[in-house]
Amino acid sequence: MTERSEHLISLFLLDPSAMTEEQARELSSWISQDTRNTKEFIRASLFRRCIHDILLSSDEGRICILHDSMTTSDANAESFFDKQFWHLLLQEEATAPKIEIESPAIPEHELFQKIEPMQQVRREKKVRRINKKSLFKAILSTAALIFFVFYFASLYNTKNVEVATLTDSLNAQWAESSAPTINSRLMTNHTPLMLRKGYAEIVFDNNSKVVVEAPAEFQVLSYDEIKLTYGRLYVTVPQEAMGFIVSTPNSKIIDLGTEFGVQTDINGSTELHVAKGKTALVSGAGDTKNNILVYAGAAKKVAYDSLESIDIACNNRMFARYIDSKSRFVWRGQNISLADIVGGGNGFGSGVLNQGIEVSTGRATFTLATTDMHAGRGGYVRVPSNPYIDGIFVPGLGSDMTQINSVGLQTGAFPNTSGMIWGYIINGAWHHGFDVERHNLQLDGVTYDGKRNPAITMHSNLAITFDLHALREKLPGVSIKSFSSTFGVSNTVEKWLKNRDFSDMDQSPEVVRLAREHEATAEFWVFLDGEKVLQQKVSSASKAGIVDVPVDESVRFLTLAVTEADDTSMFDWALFGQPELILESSN
Amino acid sequence: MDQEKNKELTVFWAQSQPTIASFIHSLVPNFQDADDILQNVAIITVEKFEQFDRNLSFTAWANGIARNLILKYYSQKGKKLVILDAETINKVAQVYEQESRSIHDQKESMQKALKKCLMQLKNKWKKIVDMHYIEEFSPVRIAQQLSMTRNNVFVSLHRIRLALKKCVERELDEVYS
Repeated sequence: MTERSEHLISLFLLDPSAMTEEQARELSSWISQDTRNTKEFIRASLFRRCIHDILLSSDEGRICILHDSMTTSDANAESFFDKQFWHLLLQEEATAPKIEIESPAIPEHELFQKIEPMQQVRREKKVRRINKKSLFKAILSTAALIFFVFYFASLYNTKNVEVATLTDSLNAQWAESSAPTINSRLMTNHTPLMLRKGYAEIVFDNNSKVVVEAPAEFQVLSYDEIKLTYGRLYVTVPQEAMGFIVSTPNSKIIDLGTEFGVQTDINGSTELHVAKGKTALVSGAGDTKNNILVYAGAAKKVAYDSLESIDIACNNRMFARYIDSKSRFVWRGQNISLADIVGGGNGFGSGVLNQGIEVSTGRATFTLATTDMHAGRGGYVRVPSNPYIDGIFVPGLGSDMTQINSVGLQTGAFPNTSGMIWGYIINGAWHHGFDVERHNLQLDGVTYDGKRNPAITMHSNLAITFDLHALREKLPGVSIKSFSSTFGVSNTVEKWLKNRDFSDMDQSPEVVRLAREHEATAEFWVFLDGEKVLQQKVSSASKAGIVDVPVDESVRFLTLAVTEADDTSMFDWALFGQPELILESSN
Repeated sequence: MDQEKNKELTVFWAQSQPTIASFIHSLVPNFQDADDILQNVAIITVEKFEQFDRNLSFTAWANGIARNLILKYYSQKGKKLVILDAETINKVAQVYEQESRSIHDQKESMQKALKKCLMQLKNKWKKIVDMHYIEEFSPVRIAQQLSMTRNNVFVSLHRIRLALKKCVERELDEVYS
């Protein structure tokens, strides 16, 4: 590379306004004439950009440039910059010959008059900055809070300090230049981090938790602020850290004690989905900025070319809220499906439809041993193949007391039953009898196909106990808030009852009633650690029941049971529809 | 755009963004202008993503958008700025298309070495480096601030660039030798 070409490149990079047309032509010609020259030019351009990026993105670089060298590089005897070289450069600077730079377009004396103090001429970035102070004034009207926030912001923002920790990652693949590992401390003004694949969990020192999902580019700005250039992240902020901020290219989202997800498209459009509590969304800039409060269950979008936010549908399953690299679990706010667990799954869809538990053995099965009703076995049967199912049993059989969990707890709540059962406990909702063709069950006219509408089929005189502690062990970041389900006897019973000939059966009052009324009734039960929280009779002709009970953290066993009512156990095609454990983040 | 396509585009962008950014940075010396062009490339890729042919390279497609925006940028600058001609810009784009991986790798190693070299800059030059690379002052403005001539400021920046370049080459030689 010639000295001349270096000069021309410097002119183009450092002072293009001083370039003459002839110099531009000469440089263009040099770049185009040989691919090696083109590469040299590219290398020189990127080299200069690298200097800018290093200095601007990291206080480490900036400090080493601005800091008094007597305490740093001058003391370094092995400094590569030869002192003589710099001495010569100093001298040359004073007497440097002109190197073909034309006079500035504007006379120097005019420019001198326009000079402003350095602080005032600092170029405004085009990225919209929103005044945190005025925002809190407007929204919270709390002077004390403003003082608090600004005191700490001023303390931390201006320094390159460690403010957060990468606490977990799952299948994470970072851009080469920035690859933090688990337990890495993250600093303010660190170079933006680019997560190409997988998930990362970052916990700020104020306990705000951020889960980032690839692809994403983000930057930790301060002890209470993260910038999302593009991608998705989910923020969980404890009460004491209220005021946490997510900045995007066109908005700021300020937490007001909440959980929310933010998606920023590569063009800068921003979506905010609030799962819990409320947030303030600030869009626009300067005098035209808009502040609105966004509450749980609501979502807003700010398009890249708009200052206004518009309403969009809130998507509660859009963001990864919690990750656990050990169990390779990603939680997106979904609940645990007990039907999925009956199907041998983890509660999040890995179970097999129509799989279930054989009542006499506790083993997994797919098929009916018989389409007929048959006598159930007494005693509590463990289910060793499924860690989340403690056991199964036939309630009210042979004794006033029925054992309902593996620690031996018994209940006398159940009436004596015939112990007659049908099929197995199924992930799915269907019946198949000797004179009934296989069909899906219905509640309130809704067909439970097991996929869109999951269900557990439990004929009367069957019961199952789930081990919630085993589930909690697998989900350390989330807690079980409640159990909810619909329940009832299938509406399809009527059709098959009408066609059934009972003339060859013993005409007991129960059978007579069943034949006359064309409806079957069963009794549904729910227990938490042996304590009854639901006992309700529902018939195939009535509306389905609904159960929604809170579940304390200490509760280990959840038991669901169905018993026959006073119309025999025949046609008790019972089901729990969409039986779910409702989860929430542990924070 | 639906969520699936949006996700697909974001994945493409995450993979290609460094290459697209480097391409723009190599042809637009003004830092802020280059960043604005990159943002506009992102906006256009979102708007036109439906038209993107999945059989082609996303990076090449987005670089094509960037090239057009750079040409437009220079045509808007008009007489205020003498710049490289369209043929040269196309040549740079062509080399980028062929060598984007190796250019990116070079940039990665260059950055590490450059950090070390910047640490060793002397006081006198720190001020000028600060004003040009952080404050983004032009040589004219730096000259006014430091009571120097524009020519002297340019010479200093030129020399600093070459000195840093030599230092980086030396650092990289040590790494690879």
